[in-house]
Amino acid sequence: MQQLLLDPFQQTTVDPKKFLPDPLALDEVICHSKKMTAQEHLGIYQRSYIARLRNCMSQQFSALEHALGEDIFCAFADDYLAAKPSYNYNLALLGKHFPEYLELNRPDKDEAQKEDWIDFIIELAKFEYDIGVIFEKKADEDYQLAIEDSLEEKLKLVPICELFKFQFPVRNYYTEFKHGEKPDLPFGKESYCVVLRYKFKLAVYDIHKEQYDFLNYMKNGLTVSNAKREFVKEYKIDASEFETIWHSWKTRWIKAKVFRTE
Amino acid sequence: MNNRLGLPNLRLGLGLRSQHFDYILEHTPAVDWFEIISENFMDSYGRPRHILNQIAERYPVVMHGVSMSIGSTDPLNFEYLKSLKALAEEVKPAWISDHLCWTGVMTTNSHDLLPLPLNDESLIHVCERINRVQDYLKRPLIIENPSTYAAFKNSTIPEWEFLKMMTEKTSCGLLLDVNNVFVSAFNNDFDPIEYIKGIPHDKIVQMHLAGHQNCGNYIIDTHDREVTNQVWKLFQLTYQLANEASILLEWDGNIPEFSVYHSELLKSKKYMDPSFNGFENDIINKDQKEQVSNPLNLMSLELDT
Repeated sequence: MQQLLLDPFQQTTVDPKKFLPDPLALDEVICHSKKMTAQEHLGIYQRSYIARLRNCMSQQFSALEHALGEDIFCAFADDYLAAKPSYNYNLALLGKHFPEYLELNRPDKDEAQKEDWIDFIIELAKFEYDIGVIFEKKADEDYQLAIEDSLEEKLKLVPICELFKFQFPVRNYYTEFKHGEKPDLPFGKESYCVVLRYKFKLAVYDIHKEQYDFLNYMKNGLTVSNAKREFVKEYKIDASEFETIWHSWKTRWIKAKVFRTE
Repeated sequence: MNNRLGLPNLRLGLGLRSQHFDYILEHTPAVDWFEIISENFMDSYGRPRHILNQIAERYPVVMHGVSMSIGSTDPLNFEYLKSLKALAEEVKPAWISDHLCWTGVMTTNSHDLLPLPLNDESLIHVCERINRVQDYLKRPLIIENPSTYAAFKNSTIPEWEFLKMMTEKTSCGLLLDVNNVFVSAFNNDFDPIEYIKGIPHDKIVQMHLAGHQNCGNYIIDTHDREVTNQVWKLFQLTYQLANEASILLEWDGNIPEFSVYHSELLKSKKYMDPSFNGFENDIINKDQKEQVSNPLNLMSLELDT
């Protein structure tokens, strides 16, 4: 029955009929009723299975669904679900391999020249899935946020501070969609963002490459002073010149709840 | 009549849905208790679990699962049970329930509540698994009758008798979903009144009510609308036989604002009176498109940007 439910259109290689006592006799397993045949009874489960999981995929990847359009999204989702059925009770994990699946099954996979929009949807799919993971992640929530007067050597990143680097303006597209707009597919443009969680609520901010690199130093465990040192070395700028820049970053990031002190 | 399995009558409750989190925390509405979908919180360490802990401090909570797969031929999933038990230790639910069904075999999960063949062999199989789960959780398990859309040729025991024998062999309790009885009876040609009269009333710890979609030849248990008059009348009969059970209204699709959800629950008070004739207007199915059966365990996330 499971094979008949999970793969009614025979997209995998397993023939569900081999599980039946007689290859032609579903009637031998499932009862017909006054109003419906055995196949019609089974059909309710078959339609419900795919509709339910499509619905979950569409909730997990709502911006992606907008980007692809409902029909193309459904086609990708159906193929994915047939190839990678769920093995976990946690529906939040349903789309875990979807970005990877899109990557492996991109429509231009055999073409020498790759299409930009496909790169964008893969980045968007990864970002949407990661946002869900960050939302549910186990993390310390009991800490002191930094304030303007906090000693610099005490500054640490808040426990949930995730950095993203994209080849497309993914953050912009995602938040526009979440605000009820209908963004068009964007052109390629390198972009960066930081996702923060404070008191269990997520916030997403654009950052630029230099800020990404600086926060990345701290994400890798460097103190503010060591991150500054690495930064001026990498960007070959004068330390005192950077101090002015750092001051404006620090003010903005303290307001955005990027730093804690303990 | 004594409380079932020593468990309290929590009176009238609602399913806890993320759309209502803020309203509940802000207004502390006069609902007697809340039921959660266990899987929505078991592996979540974000806002939903944080809010659940706050709500559990103010209201009695019951944990209702959709993935125990008590009827599966796969081994019991002790990773699942471990996570379920950990949540129970944190939330301290009045009880834990799940369905008489299977959700998958060979480790696959269909995320649906699939029907079992009901016969002597499956009864032994299910009872053995219920006993193991009860031993592990150190509490009685409350088992719900699922809504079914098919029946098996090798079923030899009517569902109500199966449930009766199951409770006798395991001392588990019953969560009687009145809507599911109606849906299954319509889909599989049995008499819902015979079912209601045949189940062991003293084992009914809780009842479920919900809306469904009548698609003509069959009914889908959609949990996305008001309860139909026919289900209310079946509830009216059931309540006369099992009036110590806690009542819960499920609503999982097209979730309305809290006041609408709550007022639908409060209709049940009218139907507790056996002389109440019922409301005149019934739910009319205006939608043509077949909806998805519920419950479905997926939470929505909020984002500040």
